[in-house]
Amino acid sequence: MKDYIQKMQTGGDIVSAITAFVEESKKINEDNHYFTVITEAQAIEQAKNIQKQALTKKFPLAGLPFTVKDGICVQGVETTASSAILKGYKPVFNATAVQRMIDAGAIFIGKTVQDEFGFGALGITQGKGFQAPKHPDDPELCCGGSSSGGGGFTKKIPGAHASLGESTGGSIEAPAAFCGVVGLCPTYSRVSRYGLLDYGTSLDKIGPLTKTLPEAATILQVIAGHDKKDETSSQEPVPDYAASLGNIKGLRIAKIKEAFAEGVDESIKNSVHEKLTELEKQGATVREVSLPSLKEGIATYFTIALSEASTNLAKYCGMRYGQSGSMNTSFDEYFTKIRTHHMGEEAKRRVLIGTFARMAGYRDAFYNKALKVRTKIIQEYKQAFKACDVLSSPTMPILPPKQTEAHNLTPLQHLMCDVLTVGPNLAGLPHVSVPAGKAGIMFIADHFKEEELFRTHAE
Amino acid sequence: MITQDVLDKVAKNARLTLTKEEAAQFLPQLDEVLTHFSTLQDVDTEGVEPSFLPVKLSTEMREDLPEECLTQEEALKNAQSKNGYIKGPKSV
Repeated sequence: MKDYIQKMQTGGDIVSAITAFVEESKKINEDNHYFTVITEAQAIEQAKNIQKQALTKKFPLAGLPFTVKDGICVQGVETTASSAILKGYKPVFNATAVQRMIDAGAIFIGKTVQDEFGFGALGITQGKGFQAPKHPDDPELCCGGSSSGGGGFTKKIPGAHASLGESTGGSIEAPAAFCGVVGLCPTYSRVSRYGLLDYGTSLDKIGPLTKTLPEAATILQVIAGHDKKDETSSQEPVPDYAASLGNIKGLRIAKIKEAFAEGVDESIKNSVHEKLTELEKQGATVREVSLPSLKEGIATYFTIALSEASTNLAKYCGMRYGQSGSMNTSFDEYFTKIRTHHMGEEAKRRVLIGTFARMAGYRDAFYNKALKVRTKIIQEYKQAFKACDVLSSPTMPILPPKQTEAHNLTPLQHLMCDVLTVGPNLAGLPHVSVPAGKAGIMFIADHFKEEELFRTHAE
Repeated sequence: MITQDVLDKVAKNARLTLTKEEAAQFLPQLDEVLTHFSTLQDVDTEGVEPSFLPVKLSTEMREDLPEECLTQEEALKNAQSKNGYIKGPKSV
């Protein structure tokens, strides 16, 4: 990516590069279903525009092709979060993260498929009418979800490219680990959520999927920072992320004891340990820490996430955007008809669970209780960071399963796939999944300490 | 944990109509998931405050000044509209 950008900053032929990239993307997409839309004409037009300015204005991402998870708004491009209920919705504005990529000279190529509204750890629960993407190395396997198309495409496409994904409970990290790429989820509020179709308001984060960790640092540098359009976006200054890359000497790593317990694939544990040994040889120290509250992670995370989702999805009622129908009926009947007809099975199940957890009579025992357990989990992480710079664990407990097998999992087994990623997501901590053998190793840092994640980069 | 009556009430609140097959499928699945979630009730949270957000954010108010925003045409672009308003079903 670095060489590509340098070339395009110094007179490289951006239009030819993007034309070739789009052709290759279309070819890859035929069999793999990574995209919901490829915007060829728009990409070429944008490439011409950047080409004209590239020699006089130094774009940090000059001519870099990028793709965007379907649930992030791109002006004039169908944006559905891979749900049939939003079919036809074309936003009239760009998400801030998308706008910052464009302003930095990157070229938007298309929207990548996802699990409907982000509801899925495996990449097999798209909405009605959408196809599951195929794993880049073996078409029978799952890509991981929910930023599944972005993960698969990032691995499959040769050359410089970055994808914007989104994680609520593991949706950047899971596809990164399954597909063998880097997936970075920043601190909650580090990147503006303006223009993101929300799943869990207190949990959603936009972040990059790239081939390498330095590339993730490059993209985060561009998209991070305060945005007045998102009142929850942080005013914390954005440091120079590249400066900390590979600064391994003295890095204090603590591996999370509970993340190496029974139920986690042995080959994954071995790959993670090998990676940690490698880092130790380069000057890091590795010890173990126990985070006992993490055993409540799945129950806490999904109670909060689905409660928030069940209210966030209420706006998809067939009125302001997406699907609509005949309105010769009462509001309740109309709303019910549109939702019942267009929402997929997983979305319905999750909305039902979230609605239950917020209902009078159950709210204290579920939603309100989960918010308190979340506090305990955050406190436990904060305590751990007093004695380490990064925490580490496997990203996923399993290697990518076959899609046919994954469809046989019970809903609870499906939720359990997120067991290792829900912790940092609940606590809003920055974390990254980096390839380790055939698996992914996850590093977690304290709030707004993304630079500690970049220190783990080994040349 | 969850009975057919409760599921019916939840579905009504969620504005979803479930077919008999869907209800038969969802009932044991939701029961299994919610039984797992109910383990939270055993966690001691005495004196613990809830975390609505994972990080503390400043709640600085912005100046109350008019700024550029979507035009009416843009705001209506994705909706059925009539006389410059978003069209909706009867609310009463």
